[in-house]
Amino acid sequence: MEARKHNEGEANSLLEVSDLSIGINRSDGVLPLTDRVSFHLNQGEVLGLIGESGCGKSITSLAIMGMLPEPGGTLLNGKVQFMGQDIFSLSEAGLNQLRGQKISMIFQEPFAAMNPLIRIGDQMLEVFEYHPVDFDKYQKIKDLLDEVGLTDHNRILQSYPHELSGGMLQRIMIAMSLLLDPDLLIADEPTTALDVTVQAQIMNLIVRLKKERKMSVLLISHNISLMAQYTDRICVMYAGQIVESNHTESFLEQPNHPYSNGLMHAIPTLDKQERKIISIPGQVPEPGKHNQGCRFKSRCIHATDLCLSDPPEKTMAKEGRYRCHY
Amino acid sequence: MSLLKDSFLETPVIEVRNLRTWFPVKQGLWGKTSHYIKAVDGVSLRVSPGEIVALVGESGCGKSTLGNSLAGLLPIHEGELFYQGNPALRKNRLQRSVFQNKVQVIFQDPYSCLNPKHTVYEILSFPLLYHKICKRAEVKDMIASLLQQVGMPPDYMNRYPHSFSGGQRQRISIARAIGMKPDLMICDEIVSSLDVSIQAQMVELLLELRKELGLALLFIAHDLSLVKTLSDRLYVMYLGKIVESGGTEEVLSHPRHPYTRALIEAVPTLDRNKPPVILEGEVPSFSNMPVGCSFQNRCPHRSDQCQQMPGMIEKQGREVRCFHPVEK
Amino acid sequence: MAVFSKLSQDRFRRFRRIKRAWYSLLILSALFILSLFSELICNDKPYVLSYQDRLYFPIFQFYPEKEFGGKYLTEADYVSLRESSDFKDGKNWMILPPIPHNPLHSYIDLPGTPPHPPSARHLLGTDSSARDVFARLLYGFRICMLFSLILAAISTLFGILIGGVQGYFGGVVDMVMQRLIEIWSSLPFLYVVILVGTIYSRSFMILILVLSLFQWIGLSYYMRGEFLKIRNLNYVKVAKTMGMSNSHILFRQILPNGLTPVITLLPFQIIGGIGALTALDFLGFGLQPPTPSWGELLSQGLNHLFAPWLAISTVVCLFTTLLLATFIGEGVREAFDPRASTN
Repeated sequence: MEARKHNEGEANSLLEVSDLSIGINRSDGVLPLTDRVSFHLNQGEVLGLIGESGCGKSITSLAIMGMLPEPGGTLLNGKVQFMGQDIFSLSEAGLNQLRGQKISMIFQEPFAAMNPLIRIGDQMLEVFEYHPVDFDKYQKIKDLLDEVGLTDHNRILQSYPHELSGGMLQRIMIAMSLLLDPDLLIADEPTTALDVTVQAQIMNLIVRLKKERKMSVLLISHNISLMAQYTDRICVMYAGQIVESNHTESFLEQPNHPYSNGLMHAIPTLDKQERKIISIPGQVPEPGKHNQGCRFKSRCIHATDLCLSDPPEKTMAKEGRYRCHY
Repeated sequence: MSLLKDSFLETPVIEVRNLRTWFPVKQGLWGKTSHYIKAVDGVSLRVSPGEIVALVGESGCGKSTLGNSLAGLLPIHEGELFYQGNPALRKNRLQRSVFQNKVQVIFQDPYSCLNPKHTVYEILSFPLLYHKICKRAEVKDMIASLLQQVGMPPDYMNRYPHSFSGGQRQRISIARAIGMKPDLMICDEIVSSLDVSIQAQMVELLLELRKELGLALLFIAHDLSLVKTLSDRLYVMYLGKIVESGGTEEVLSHPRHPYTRALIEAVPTLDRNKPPVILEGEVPSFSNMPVGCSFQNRCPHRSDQCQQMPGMIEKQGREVRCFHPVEK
Repeated sequence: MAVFSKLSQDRFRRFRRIKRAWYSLLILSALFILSLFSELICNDKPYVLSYQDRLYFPIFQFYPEKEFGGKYLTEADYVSLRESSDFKDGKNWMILPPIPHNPLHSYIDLPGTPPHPPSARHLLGTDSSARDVFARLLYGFRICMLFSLILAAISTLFGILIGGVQGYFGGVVDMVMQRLIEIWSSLPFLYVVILVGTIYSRSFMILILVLSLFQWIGLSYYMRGEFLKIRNLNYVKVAKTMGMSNSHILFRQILPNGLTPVITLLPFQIIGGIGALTALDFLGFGLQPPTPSWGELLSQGLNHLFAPWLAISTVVCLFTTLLLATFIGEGVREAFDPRASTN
């Protein structure tokens, strides 16, 4: 592997993922799911991780918390460093200390993330069960509900999840994730299940909270417009690899990897004048079924023989890095 | 779009007038109906031959209920429904025989729409043989041609659904529908659960099918950007009612109803200089609807007049249900 | 159609990996198939017999006494023939099955009073009517298994039909049928069996018929649930919107997907059948004597506690069979566990 150069100050790096390769142990061998994923996240920054289903972004995000896929997930290579600590060297107790307190996560389906039989208030209190604190928990819960825009405290705390709407539940999830003042918030498709008007509200909320708390956010999504609006830097994932990584503004001006380019053109947006969208032909190859060479070759319009045989290593071009021969 | 003018002259493939699908809420000892959930409350729309009409709205606005009602899966409370000019409702029950299988429905979830125990061949052949669309000897060829039309190789017919991705399964559902040679396909959020790049492929497929087969589509969706690439005309739904309709490009570039405008402005775009505009408030629940215009609690233009339900104002092929439509 | 879809294959493969269940299935099936050929394993008639240089096959064909020098036209008594001088001197010979005993033949000439303890001739001794215990166990096993398999088949059929109709149509149909089933299931089946057995003869078929009147109820609850669940799935809705008839939807769309409870319950239905028959025979309300039956042997064992080989051998057989079937049942249940699915 080529030596990685760090243009930004390494000291600012809150989260550092290096060559992360995760696989699943199966009876017929090991199935690799991610391949040498590397990125870093600085303090106070919003990093977007974009890719379609099956590209490995969710697995990567869980790995950051030290969670590997069940059953049979293994760390094949690489490491994750959070605030200087190697995640995978921590014990279960150490990881539990980290989760919720330093790193927090919100998921796609707010309904599925909550226990339908327990009232909201009780679920929020559960967060404190493993993380003893010395401040007034109840006040903190109420303060956070205010912060996320839910002022009718009593009604909400007494309700069961099914009595509230998706937007409200997602706000509650955000509040829950902030109860212990984490340094990093991982948001895995937080608005995919929500309506577009609610999405705008929730994303706005996340960005505002980030600014107020100087928190970092890892935003995972398949929606490139969302990335464009809310992220500082962006990493594109395809078939288990990072294929491009850049500052968002530069990325939007000039996406370097053919897949990124394809994504931009395949997604309809309201502000484009032309009606036609150009789809990316073919499908994502299944994990474990990549031949040597570039993983995108079967769908790339620029593919050549070189792409068939040689896997492209990342080429450095200014601040952007992308995995392509061209 | 040129289709807009022609459509008013031809008999629409399907026309809905003042459709109401109300769900009774029974309370009390004897289960008396205390009130109704008016999921679809007085919806009128039409689809002309070969036209692609989109019905958009956010979750809970009633668009799926409307789709299900048109499919005959839900009882209709009131209203009229015409297929090719023929009434299709009798005593508020859908008479499917009027459709003669020319109106097909495709649902959202590709993973539950195909019977996991049937091969693709069986899935496609059952309706073909049952409705005697073709003879047993011709079925295999017919299925091969259907699969090709949706962009799948014919030898997929021996496989089971589980070996296909979401997008491929939707194609199989579409193949099943077009086997009936329909005039109209009602697509109820069929691409919402697919990957974005696959969504683009599906849109291409639908456009091609329209071109080849002269198929009309009623495309129910919540993604405005997708609808822009696909449909000729657009209906916007909010809390059980149509609030705006017209040609897609026109409505999206010059929305007249405040809700439509809010919806458009809330969609994130690639332009970092234009952040999405927040629409405050929440959608009122069906059991707690405001008196008068259903959008008043969130509308920046509301006035006292809005305490009455606004009627539909129609002008040059565009309809708006508002007392203060947004001027250009 | 897809009984062997990939999902079924996965489940089968998972079942095979559960060694205990797989081997139990192999062993039980092997034993059952073996018992189907009981007449060839355990019989007092020889396979082949040579008399005066002519070959005879008594197991497969009827030969009267007269053939072998007897007086009458009734079937030859091969047991006494074996002992007679004709065969002792080596000119005529017969080849006997490994266990040369018949479950119905009483060896009254044996010294001592029945039940006789195990000996070289009678591996497990004889019962209180001097019949060979091993033979009775083997033939009894066959009857037991056949009974419960047929019973399971019939009650499965009814369970699917009735539960399916309930689940699919729902509403009033479901409610009315459910009440009827509740009334029906409150009937004490034992009394009904006794009554029917007394009025009509207590034959194999009558017993199956009566027991199957009650056994289907359990399965129908499960099938009702499955059908209720499946009819709301999208592919059923699609079939409806495409105008398919109710019978098509029931039989071709829903049924192939609703068979899980049938398969998971089957081993336990068989256990239930074996248990029911054994219990009835034990009480004397089951199959008519002298039909070989485990229940009857058990009751003999109870009455002759000083002849422990009766009770012990039957209990061991019963225990083993039920244990094997239970292992199979557990294995099936685990193989069908949706949580274990990798999808």
